[in-house]
Amino acid sequence: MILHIDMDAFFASIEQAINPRLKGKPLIVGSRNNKMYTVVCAASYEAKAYGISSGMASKDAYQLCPNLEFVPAEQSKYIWTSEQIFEMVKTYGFEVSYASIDEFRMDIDKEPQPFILAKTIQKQIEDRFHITASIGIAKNCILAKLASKLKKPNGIAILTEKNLTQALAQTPVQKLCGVGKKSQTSFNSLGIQTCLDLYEKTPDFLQRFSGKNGLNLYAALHATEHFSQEIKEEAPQSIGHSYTLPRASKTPRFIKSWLRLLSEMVAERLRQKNLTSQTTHLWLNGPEIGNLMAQRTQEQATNDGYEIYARTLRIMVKIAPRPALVRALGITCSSLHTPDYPPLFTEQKRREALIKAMDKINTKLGEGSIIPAVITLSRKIA
Amino acid sequence: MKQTFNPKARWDRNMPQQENNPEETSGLLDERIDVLAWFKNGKILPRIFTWKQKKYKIKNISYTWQERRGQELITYFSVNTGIDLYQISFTNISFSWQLDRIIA
Repeated sequence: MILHIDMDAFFASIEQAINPRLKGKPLIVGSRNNKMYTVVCAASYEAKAYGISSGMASKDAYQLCPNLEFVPAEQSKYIWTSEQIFEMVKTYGFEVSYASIDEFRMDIDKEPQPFILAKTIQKQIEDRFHITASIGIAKNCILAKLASKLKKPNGIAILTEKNLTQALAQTPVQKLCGVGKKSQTSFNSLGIQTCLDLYEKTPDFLQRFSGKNGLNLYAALHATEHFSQEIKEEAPQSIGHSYTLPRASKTPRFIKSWLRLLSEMVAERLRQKNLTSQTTHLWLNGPEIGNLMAQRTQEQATNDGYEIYARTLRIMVKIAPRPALVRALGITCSSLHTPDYPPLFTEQKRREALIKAMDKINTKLGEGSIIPAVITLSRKIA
Repeated sequence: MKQTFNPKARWDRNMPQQENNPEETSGLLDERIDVLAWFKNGKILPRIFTWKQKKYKIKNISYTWQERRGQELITYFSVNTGIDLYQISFTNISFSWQLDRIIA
């Protein structure tokens, strides 16, 4: 059995715990940009009652609720709280893993009293952090996550063999993790309206409908999962990062520092997955240039942030030879391979040693703790 | 189970801080303060702080969290004086206290 803990309106609840005057008020947590030009990272339940949800433009949120309270996100407190909750639930003696910053999974195996366990966890979280969590328990990760959404906020839902059919029949298919608007429309066109409709489909049907993904979905829904038996994660096709600048800039040094930061972020993820990339893709967006994108494939694969940055600059020179206003930018690496031979030349060896040392520090103190100095320019608004 | 999320990913440290953004700078002080605190059972409990020669008695601590910046471990407290809510912080390397901001 899997127990899935989903914190209720996590960022907003922490802000309400910090500032009791925000309790009971519609509140959104947004990025550090101006409150009218940002995206809702989290909304309190009082804000959700107005139809405000994560991912919405803050401007739209203010139209729905002009009295909305706004708090700029400060990651350190959310990360610390998340880590503390993770450490706390680990003390129950089960294997625990992160699903996201505000979601945790526990393999509770054949725990005889899952409801009491869930209740105890909820109480401990509330006593210590003054925030609430919803808990779902089911035979596998995907159903446990679904269950955690069924009785929000501060609820517990257990899906057993007895009640599974009824619960799935009452739950629209879009509530299932990974089913977005597009998938929902496709499922609906096939007559799949509820989670039960999907659950009852055969593997053949799902394979015909969406190939390998369909088969994976069937396996995920029907598995009786233990963490150790989890299906092996498939290697990604590409890895990328993008960022929308607070406002458009044409200062080359500023734009380059952002490209360097994104290159380092992509490179770090490549190294975490033990991959190297041959193809670098650059995307630039701005009021004058619209969407500009191009890619370049090199013979030599790399996962070095500096090399990815250098390749990106060569692409930029071609697609935007003159400085232009840039509002958003992104780097994606594809043609991914597992590194097959160690570096041969002295300079390559030196770079690899440097990267390994930086990775070691960043693993210990958190990604982005040690960075190339040029990146600090990205903090300045140009 | 393979970890799908790394809570220590702190690239946001490198995201821009907008000096002229009212939301960002609202109530921001970053001023050194004197604090009378209990260090009890591995916990730090600030009781009184002095800011601009005025004493503020802390009625309760609504939230505490920590952040590691290199070797420094910074402990943050949101403290209620009964009138206002403040964010104060303690740095373990310099053993210094700071009034970060007036929250409300």
